[in-house]
Amino acid sequence: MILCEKLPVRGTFKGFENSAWYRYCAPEAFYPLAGELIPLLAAAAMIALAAGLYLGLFAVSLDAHQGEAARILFIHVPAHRVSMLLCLFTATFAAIGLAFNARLAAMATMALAPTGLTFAFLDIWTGCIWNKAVSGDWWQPNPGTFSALALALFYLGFIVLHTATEDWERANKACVLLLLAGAVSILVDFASMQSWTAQQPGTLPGTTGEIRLGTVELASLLMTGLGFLAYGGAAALLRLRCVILERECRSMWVAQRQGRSAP
Amino acid sequence: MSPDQWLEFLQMGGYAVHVWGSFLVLPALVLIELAILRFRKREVLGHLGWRRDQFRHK
Repeated sequence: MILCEKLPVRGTFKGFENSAWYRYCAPEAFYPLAGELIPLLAAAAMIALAAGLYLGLFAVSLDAHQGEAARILFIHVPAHRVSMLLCLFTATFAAIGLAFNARLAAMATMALAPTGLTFAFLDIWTGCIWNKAVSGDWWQPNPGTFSALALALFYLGFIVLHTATEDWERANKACVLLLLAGAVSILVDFASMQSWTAQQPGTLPGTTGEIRLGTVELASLLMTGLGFLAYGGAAALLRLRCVILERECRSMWVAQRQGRSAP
Repeated sequence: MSPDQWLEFLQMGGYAVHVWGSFLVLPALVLIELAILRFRKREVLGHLGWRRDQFRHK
């Protein structure tokens, strides 16, 4: 953290000098940790996705109205949730980066946004196909599709802002507005979910109320969601390592690293 | 499963295009993202003048 390097530790940071959170704020300390975490997350993603998608393709119960098309929901719903969650993570890191002037948190937002866009795209793609299969239209105006589109625009805006301006601290400040839009879309989506579960408890929202959420269905949604999250983490950490090297290429530790591992 | 059952499974009750169009886009997206990341990593390493093994964590 720039703040911590210049000033003696005091106030909010007092007592946290030796904690892991504080130590790994430094990009040079986090860089090797990210390298250790990537294979673990990738393995977790593969196991969870294999289990979740297997259940979604073979084991879940289907309803008479949608038939096999309902299987799409077991990839669509986790993608939507993970896309929302990554938006919240991006927002949190941007806020931390602004509030504490933390370099690593600002870099993390740039690493997370493209992966969030991947999941937002998956969310919209599967949602449109599901709509087409069930109702005959590609697009249905409802809170779910609205928030999916808003999230995709949020991620796109974030990436465009960061690539358009070289001054990434100013870009991060402008992104706070975008974060607000992302947060509002998540609130809208949650409100619609709440009203759905109040009307038809125990069913999957947006599915004409016929898919009962039993243990197998919940397990499938949960495993696929966790798999997406682990994959997103691995991809974001891979990107974060690139971002760290790009941003810190003139700093001492990068040069020392190169000297250390050279023959 | 017998070949007939596999065929029935692949047909997905007439929704084959929809279901497989949704599920197969996932590996496609993952491969595209990993390819982009690989390209970016190479670019960074080339810029720094590092060898591949210097990117590893140890």
